[in-house]
Amino acid sequence: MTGGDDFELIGTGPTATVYGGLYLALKAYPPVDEQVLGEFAREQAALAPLRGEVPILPVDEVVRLGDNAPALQMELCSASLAGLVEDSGALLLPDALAIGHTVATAVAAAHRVGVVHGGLTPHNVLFHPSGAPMVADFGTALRHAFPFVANEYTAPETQRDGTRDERSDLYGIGCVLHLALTGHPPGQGDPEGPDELVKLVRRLLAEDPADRPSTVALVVRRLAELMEPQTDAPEPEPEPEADDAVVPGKRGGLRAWTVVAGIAAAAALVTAPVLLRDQPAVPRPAASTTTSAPSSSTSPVTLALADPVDGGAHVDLAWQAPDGFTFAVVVAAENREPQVIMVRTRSMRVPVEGAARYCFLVQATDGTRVLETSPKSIRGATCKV
Amino acid sequence: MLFRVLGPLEVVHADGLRADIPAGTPEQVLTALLSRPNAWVSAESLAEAVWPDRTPAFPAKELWPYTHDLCRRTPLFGETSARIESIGGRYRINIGEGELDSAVFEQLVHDGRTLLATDPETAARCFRAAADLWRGTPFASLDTCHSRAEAGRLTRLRWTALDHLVDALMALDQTAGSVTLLQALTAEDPKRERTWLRLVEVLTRAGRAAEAAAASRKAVRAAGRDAR
Repeated sequence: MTGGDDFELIGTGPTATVYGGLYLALKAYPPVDEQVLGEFAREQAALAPLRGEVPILPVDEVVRLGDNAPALQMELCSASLAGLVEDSGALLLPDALAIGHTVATAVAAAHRVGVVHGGLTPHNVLFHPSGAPMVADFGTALRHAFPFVANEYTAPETQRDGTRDERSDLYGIGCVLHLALTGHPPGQGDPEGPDELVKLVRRLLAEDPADRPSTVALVVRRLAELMEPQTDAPEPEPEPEADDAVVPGKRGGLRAWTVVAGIAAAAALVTAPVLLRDQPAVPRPAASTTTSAPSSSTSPVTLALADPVDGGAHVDLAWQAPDGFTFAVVVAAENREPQVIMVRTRSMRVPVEGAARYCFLVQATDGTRVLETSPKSIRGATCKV
Repeated sequence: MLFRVLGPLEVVHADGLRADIPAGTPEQVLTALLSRPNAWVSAESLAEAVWPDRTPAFPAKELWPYTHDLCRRTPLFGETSARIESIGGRYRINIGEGELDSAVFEQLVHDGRTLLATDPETAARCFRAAADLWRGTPFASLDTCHSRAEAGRLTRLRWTALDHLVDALMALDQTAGSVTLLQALTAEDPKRERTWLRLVEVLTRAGRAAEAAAASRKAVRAAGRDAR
């Protein structure tokens, strides 16, 4: 096990127990046959080449606890799509599409190397500290080793006879989209949006697995098309334009990513979505009453980002904020995916590329209020929120 | 047996003459329909299976020449009806009892399992007959979640049938037959641990300790190769 992390219980499922440290999570299983772990290792080996390429949260190591029980060590991702929706309700359409697209991309890559997820639900769509959504818990080896417990996201064929194949993963993608769009699991509420999307979700959730879309790659393509309604053909990457201002998420893949980064930051901050994009996003009212509304009775607080200090290969950022806040620093480079970095300090050094133009802004929350600075640029970049 | 999908697609007429199904799109359309016998398949779903990289604006229109031609090339259903029906942008391939090898295969395995405890001799015949229908990977001309999942399911079912065939042969005290079968199976998939373990067990029970030890060593080697 890495480092001297102190682990504390952060979740219990029907089979496994999850412990979280500062940076790592341990998913502890009951003792299991070595043959199962051999099969699990084969699945992980198949997924290994995808590491860093696709949004799949990798298992770093299998550690042994008491009784030789296995525990999977992963990077800690403290927020899940299920948790986000429980706190804030349904997502906005572009956010839901971006999440669905990410999940489908991960599943398609796993299917290409012959690995089925087997239990895809909004609970294993997690937000990485970097801001990116990732899919965790790929593979059927461990699932088949333990008694099956159905939940509201379990595919009909899995409930019927325990079948978990590529078609069950299609159903899982349908569940993710349904929850993101409606705030409810399948069966409750009807997704709204473009006809194509509503139809796609309905097909993904088809009772007969054979009626679901034919490939996951096709689902990825459909979602990409829906994210780009203004163009006929889906463009994987927008052409960089020389005179284009540094506007993260202005078009194409960039926008999708920015939206997702916004959700992730919000998830990590455990408050309402704070989005960095053209239209300020207003979170929909949450279904539950657990979301704390911004309080007007508290004293006014200020958050201000000082002018960034350009050090060539790095930029020093500093901001003023009251005590008790957590910060998300958004770093947007020209023609690059913006990054979100979570910090508790009031300053940080961000590595940058010598020639590129950047915009920065800081979001802050104390669990009740969410604040955001106006963006600050270096090297003459034009920033837009 | 008019339609054979447990291996490369084969279609024969009632008189035994081989039907000519051109490779490529016609073969894929027919295979996709045969992967869902007696079920209605939407034009959209069929088009996705056949043209995975593009989305035709009017799938039914593009599929029509193929389904029409396939009706001409395939044996009639019940001697008078078209094999492939089409209503309102949906298609169905009609399959009677004993006409499709995958359906017969599943029935034989099911019957064998039912009879295994009480009548191992008939059960062994069922499993043997099921195994003999197998000619290779089913639905290999397609690349869809459904085709892969069905191929995987049928492949697992075949190994189950073969495992049960060993059970039946052992119940009939046909040790030699079991050993021959298991040796052939370890050759076919040297990584499958279960076959090796079974071979060791059968040889041990037959008092062939030296051979059992040898098989056991080979099993370890096979597993080691796999782990690397």
